[in-house]
Amino acid sequence: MGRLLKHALGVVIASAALSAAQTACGANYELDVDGRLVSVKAPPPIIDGNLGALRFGGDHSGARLGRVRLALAETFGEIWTVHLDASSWGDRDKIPAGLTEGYLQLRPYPRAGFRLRVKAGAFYAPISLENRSSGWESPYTLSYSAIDSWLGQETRTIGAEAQLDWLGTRTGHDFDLGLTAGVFGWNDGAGAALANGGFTFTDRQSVLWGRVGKPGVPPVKSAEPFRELDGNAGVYGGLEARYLDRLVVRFLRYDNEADPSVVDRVSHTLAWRTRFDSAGARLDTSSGWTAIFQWLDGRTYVDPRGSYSNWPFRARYLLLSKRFGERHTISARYDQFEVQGSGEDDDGWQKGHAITLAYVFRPGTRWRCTLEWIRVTSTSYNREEFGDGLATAPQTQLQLAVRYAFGSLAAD
Amino acid sequence: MDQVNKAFKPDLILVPVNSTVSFPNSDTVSHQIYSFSPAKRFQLPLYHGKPYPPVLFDSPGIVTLGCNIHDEMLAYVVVTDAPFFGRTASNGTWSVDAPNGVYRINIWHPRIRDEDKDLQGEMTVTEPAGGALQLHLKKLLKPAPLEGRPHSWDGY
Repeated sequence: MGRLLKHALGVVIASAALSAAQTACGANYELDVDGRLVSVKAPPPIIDGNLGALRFGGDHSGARLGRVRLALAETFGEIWTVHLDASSWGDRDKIPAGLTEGYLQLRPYPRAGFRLRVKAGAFYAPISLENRSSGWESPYTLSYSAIDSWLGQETRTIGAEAQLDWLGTRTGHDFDLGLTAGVFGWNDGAGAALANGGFTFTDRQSVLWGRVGKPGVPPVKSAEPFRELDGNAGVYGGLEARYLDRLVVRFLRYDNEADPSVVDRVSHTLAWRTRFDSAGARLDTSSGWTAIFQWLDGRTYVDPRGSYSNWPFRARYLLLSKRFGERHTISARYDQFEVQGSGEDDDGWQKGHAITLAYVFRPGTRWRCTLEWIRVTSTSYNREEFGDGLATAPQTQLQLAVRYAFGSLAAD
Repeated sequence: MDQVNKAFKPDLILVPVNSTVSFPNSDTVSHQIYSFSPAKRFQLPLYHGKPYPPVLFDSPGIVTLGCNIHDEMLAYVVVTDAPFFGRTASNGTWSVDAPNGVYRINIWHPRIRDEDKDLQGEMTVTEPAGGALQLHLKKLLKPAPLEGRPHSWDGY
C-alpha cells in the first residue's frame, strides 16, 4: 500500500513539477520576501532542538529572514490546476528550502448544485480557520495559534483528498455544505515533536520531508514527521457548513493509523500513532470584525517493544480581529494548550496559555507590514528537566515584519 | 456583464427573454462562469483578453451565476417576459411611462427571503390619480454580501 502510494505520488509530483517548469515562463507565480526585526526573550526554539515555545529564541534578536516563498499555479484544460509552493525559512533544517505544498487539483464545473474537487500530492487538510491566505499564512498575525503551529510543523496530507460541496447559495438557499475525505501516507512521525517539545507558536512550516529539532540533541531530538514506517494509510474525514459569506463551521477527524509498535530498523525511528478531532468556527461581519474559535483534542502514542507511552493533547484559541478598510487590521488572540505527560513522572507534560497582539498594514497588494507581540506563559516537565531553570518564565517576542510580493499571483 | 477585480460588474442585470449577454473578462486571472439555474444552464471558461460568444437567455427566471475558481463571486441575470421592467436606483425608485390599466407587479431582490406569491400584487393605474400597491415583507432580509475584504484572505 505504502509503496504503491509512494510511486503514484512520485509520478504526480514529478509531472506537476515538470508541467510547472515547462510553463514557468507563462505561469502565474508569486515570489514573497519577508524580512523581520526580532526582539525575543525565550529559550532557543524547537527547530534548534531546544524548548523555546516561539519561532525565535536564544540569541535570535535582530534582523532575521522571515520567509522566502515561491508559488506557481497553472491551469490546464480548464479543470486541472497545478500548485507548487516552496519556501526557505533561513534556519538550519536538513533541507534549506523545500516544498510546503505541491499538488494537482481537479475541479470540474458544478452540476445540479453539487461540485466535486479532488486533490493529489501534498497539501494541508482543511482544518485551520485563521490560515486563510496564500502560502497557508494568517492575515491576522505572524505567529500562528498553538493548533496551527503544530499542524504546520507535523502534519501534511501526502496523498489524495476529495471534497463534495452542495452549493446551496447558488440555488436560493442561505447555506453551503461540504464533505471531505482524505487518505495519506508519510505522516508516521507526527506527534513526536509535540510529545518532546510541546505546543509552540511559530509561522515556520515544515517543508516536505523536513525535520524538527536536531539529531541527537535532547530534549527535542530529531523529529521527522514525514516518514512512512508501517505501510498503513492514514485517513481523515471532515464536514464544513457555510452560512452565506458570513460564517464557516468546520469539523475534522484525523488518524494517521500508524502502527505504534513499529520501529525503523535502520534509524530506530518510532511510528507515532496520532489521532485528533478538530472543530472551529469563523464569523465575518459587515463592519469588518472577524471572530475565530478553534479547538483540537487528540492523543499520540508509541508502543515499541511493549513500552507503551501516551500523550493526550488539547488546545483552543479565540481570535478577534477588526479590519479598517482594506489596509489596516488589528487582531488579538488568546490560546490555551496542554499536553498530558506520559508515565508516572509526567514526561512531556506541558500546560500554558498565550496572548498575541498584532497590527497589519497593507498599503497595496504587494506590501505587507506587521507588528506583533506575543507572550507565552507555560509550565513544562521538559523545561524543568532539561531546560534553563526558568521553567515557568514567560516567553515574549516582538516582531516587525515587512513583506514584498513579486509576480502575477500577488497582483490581485 | 464584466469581471473586474474578482467580481461580476454589475452584479445584477435585467434582460428581456431572448436577449444575449456578453461576459468579457477584464481581470488578469481566469474565471470559469457557471449557472445551473433552471432558466439557463451554461458554463464559460473566461481567459484574460479572450472574448467568448454572447450567451442567449431564452426563458424567464432568475439565473444565479458563480465562478468555479472564485467562490466569492456571485451575480444574477433576471430574465423577464414582462412588458415593463427595470432595476431600481440606489434610492429605491424606478419609473416608466405606461398607459392606464390594470398591472400585475412583481418585485425581486437577492436579499429578500419572502416567497414569490408574497412579492406580487395588482395595481390599477389611472390618470391623474395614479395607483398604489403596498407589499409587506414577512421575513428578515438576508445580510448583504461582505465588502472590502482582501481577496488574498480566501486562499484556503
